[in-house]
Amino acid sequence: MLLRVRDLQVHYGPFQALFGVSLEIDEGEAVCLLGGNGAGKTTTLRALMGALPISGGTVELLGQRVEHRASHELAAMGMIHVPEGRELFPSLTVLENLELGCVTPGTRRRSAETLAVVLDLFPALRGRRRQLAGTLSGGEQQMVAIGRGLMGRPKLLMLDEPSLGLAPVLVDAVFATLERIKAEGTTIVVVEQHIHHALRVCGRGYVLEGGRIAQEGSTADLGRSDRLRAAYLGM
Amino acid sequence: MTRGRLVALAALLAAALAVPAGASGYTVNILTQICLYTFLAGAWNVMALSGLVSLGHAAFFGLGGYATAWLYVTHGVTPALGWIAGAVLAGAVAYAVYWVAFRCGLRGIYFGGLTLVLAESFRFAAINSPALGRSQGLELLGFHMPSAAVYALALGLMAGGMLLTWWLLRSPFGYRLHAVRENELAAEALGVDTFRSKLSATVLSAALTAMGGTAHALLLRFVEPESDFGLSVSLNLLLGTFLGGTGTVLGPAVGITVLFGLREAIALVGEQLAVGTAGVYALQQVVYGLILMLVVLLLPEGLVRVAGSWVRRWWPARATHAAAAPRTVQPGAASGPRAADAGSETAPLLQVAGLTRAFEGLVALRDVSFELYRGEILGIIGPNGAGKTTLFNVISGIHPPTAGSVHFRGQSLAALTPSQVCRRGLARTFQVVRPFASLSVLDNVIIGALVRARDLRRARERSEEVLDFVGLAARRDATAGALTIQDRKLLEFARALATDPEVILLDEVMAGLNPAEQERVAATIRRIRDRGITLLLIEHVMRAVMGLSDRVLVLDHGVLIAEGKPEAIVRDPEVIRVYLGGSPVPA
Amino acid sequence: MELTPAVIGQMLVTGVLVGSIYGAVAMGFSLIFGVVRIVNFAHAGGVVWAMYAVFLVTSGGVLGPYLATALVIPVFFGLGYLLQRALMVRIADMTEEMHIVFTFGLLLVLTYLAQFAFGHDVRFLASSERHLAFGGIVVQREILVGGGVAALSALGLHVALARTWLGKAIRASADNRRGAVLIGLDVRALQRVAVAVSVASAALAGGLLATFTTLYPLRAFELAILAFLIVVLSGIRSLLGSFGGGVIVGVLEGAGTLLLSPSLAQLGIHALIFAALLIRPEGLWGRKEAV
Repeated sequence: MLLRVRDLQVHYGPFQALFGVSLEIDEGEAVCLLGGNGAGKTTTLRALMGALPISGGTVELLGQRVEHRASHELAAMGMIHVPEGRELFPSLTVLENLELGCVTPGTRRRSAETLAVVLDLFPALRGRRRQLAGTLSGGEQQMVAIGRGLMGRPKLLMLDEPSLGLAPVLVDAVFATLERIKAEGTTIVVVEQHIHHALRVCGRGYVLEGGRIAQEGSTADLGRSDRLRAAYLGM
Repeated sequence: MTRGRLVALAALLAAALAVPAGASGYTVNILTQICLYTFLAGAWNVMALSGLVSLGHAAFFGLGGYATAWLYVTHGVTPALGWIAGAVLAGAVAYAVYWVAFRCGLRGIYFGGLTLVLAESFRFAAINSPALGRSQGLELLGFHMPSAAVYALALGLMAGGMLLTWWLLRSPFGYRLHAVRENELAAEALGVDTFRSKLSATVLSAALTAMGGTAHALLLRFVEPESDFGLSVSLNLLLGTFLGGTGTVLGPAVGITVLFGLREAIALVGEQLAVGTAGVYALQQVVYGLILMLVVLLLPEGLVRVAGSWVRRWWPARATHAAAAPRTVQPGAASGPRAADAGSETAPLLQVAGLTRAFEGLVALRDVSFELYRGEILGIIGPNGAGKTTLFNVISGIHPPTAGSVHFRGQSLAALTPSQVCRRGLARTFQVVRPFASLSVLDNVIIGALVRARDLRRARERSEEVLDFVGLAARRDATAGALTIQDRKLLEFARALATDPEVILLDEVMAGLNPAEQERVAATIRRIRDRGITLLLIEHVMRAVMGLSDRVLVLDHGVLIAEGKPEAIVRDPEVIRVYLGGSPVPA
Repeated sequence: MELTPAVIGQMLVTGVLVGSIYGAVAMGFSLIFGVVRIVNFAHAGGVVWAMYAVFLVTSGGVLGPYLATALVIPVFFGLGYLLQRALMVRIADMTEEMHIVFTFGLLLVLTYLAQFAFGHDVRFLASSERHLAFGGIVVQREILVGGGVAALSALGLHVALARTWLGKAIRASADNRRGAVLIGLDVRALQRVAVAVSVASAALAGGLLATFTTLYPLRAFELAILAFLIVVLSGIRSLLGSFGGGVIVGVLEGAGTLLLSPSLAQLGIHALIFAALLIRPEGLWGRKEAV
């Protein structure tokens, strides 16, 4: 088991945002978190990443209890986050953004090698290495965000809405990339609102509703689920 | 204020006035300074009520002193006139400078920098001006005012200043300032003309500070660049107010008194240690600095508020609210919505035509056109990043459109500020709720109600009615920051309703709510419509919109891709593609 | 004085050199703001304490001012590290107004502690009395060395921030702090390093200033206002911009002093900054923040 989350609870001040979320993710899996706005998907990822205080429950990463570790410690263990809204460093160049993904000395030593792999995956970035990240288009920015995550040589890559604000063609491209990353053996957790894409890439999924897991199962089952369709379309 | 309290206050004042008769010159001098600085800190506090921190109030302090001294020395004008002249001059300077500053959108440290550079410019101007005596300053030769009279003047100023603050905090103006301080954008959206509010507060504050500067000049009988325009003047005002508590009536008095007490105590200690006057002064300043740091670290609210919460904890009987008294509720009373003369009208209430908005090349909205008719609920849906919130921001005047137009009741909304749009009858809520967190629920709503109500009493009645309507009456005295998400959303409704709008724009009110809460909010929306108010709501959760809306528009990448009845929209293949991605969901 | 080309040239050269040191002070100030988002008025207090430290060390007669400065810098680096760790981190989440109040308090403490300890007498280090002349322009040796070292270290800091991974990480956490946390940069540690570097740069500037200007406690207030205004003028985000702003102010000060008088020069500088602020509310090199 790569990641085991039990009864995760998170509060924002007086408000409870997560009411006991439990997840289990095996090595090599691709798992999606689905649900409407405000269901707690981003909160879950950020709490796992150590960027939000956890008020209850346990998180085990590679067999170690990590629920109170800081995000840089988690990143050093191989849990890498590609945040919602990309969160690039807009006044740094594309290359600098990518380099900063190497958060441990170990990954920094091999950064040239990893960079070559990332640029192979995103050839469009090759010509834009010296450009400021803030001047890129939305799709290119998303590539940089994913590429920056890969530079950290993740064991577990957690992507938060990688298709946000992208044109349909680019959404397809992003998910094609995720499939390649998965094929190379990286474990993936992805929060997504384009359910159809998410279901195609991922083997399993969880549906969040109001800070709780409402449903879980294989993507084939989830795809047939009326509940999921209802959650999104209101039928 | 009750009559009993007024009498007590008058007695206190009379007693204070009698002090010089029996006290030493030293005591009177200290008391005069305490009164004067309390008044000055209070004047600084008026500006701080709107959340602005000035590092250069010495500019206005010095203007008051120098105007009086110059008029007296060169033209023999009595300081009584100089006093007024100084206040008018300072007010005019503040108006000119801050008008430009607020129009330019100077914020944060850039604003602080401007205030500081203003004071420093005046200091160097005084140093360089022969007419003002260069670094020697001006002496009010031949002017004499008995120390008891100066004391009485300072005492009067202090009392007047405190009364003014007391009144301000309870006036519509004070409410607006508080709203600006808490959240400028939300205040603007609730019809508060933030520009004018800030400008009024700064001009008033500057004029008052100049009056204090004149009194100070009369006390010392000279003005001099460093002691009138110097950084330490500005610093003392900031120090006293912060220690006592910004935005409170008693804060400046408490803060200044503690500071002066400390000052004298250090002087005594310094005498024992024989460090000399310079050493004592240095020690005093070190202690002042430490106090500033400690206040920020330990009691950022200030002494008065901390003491207040102690009083409430140990003496709860005193703190119980008068609000416990029963109150008759008049559902849908006189101040209800405007008569909905719907039937006769076929022209759209809101008409959006060819609206385009680009941010540095990124087009967030492209050629969006639609109409909103009186009495309907129009839903706008679309994935995250589709441009929904941008659409609201353009309609409500936060962003100007790059192209296209918005007409409300046939009139263009172009070039209106958000507060003007709100006053026209178009209210909005925010997706990320923006309550005035430190104000009570009721006060939050009152700020909206002040758009139409002529006085606070009427605004309060209107607000209570609205709170009843949305079902928040029980929480009216709670601090807005302590509400649950659902109650915050209802508070957004209440504030918008209180402005008595014809149209409300609701920005993702369902986000973050569980299905039961969504149902409650949906019911409230229907009841709002039943009051004759037209609603435009944007929503990511489709389910929420479908049951509510008469018509639905679908926005994707800034373009309207579908329009129609809810039942038709959910079957539209294009919509399903946008929402679920790729090809249709397996059945 | 007649305005011969040599006089003007000398004014320009001296202005640029002295302005470089102002620039170094402003750069340290703007580094803290960029990374920790705190307006640190106490920065100038650090400069003045470094001046006194250099004064004390040299008064022993063993070490010269430059060696003394080299000794003081690492001490200040450590103090800066502690400052961030113990104090600044506690106020980081408060409003900008609170930051201003807090660091003003610290400035008061530093300034008047110096006054209490050393008195308000004006002091100065013994000058080498050596001047370098080229093409009719005569420059005091200490000013030449001071300005040169300040400019070089400003350039060095810029290069370190631009080229090293640590420097990039510091810039990244200034650029988008939440993003930096989310991708696993140790932002708190980066902030401690940045503040330590900033305070060390204050020590450097103080040591260099001490070699050719007078020193007295209230110098801290003057430098605080100066540094604050320079970074406000140049837009607080840009480090090289702050340095440039310092140079501009140095030249203006020199020109004003030569043509008018020192205090009229100050008036002119303040009036210019005042106008600049209203015309470019985000600073000369600033850019509007994205909406």
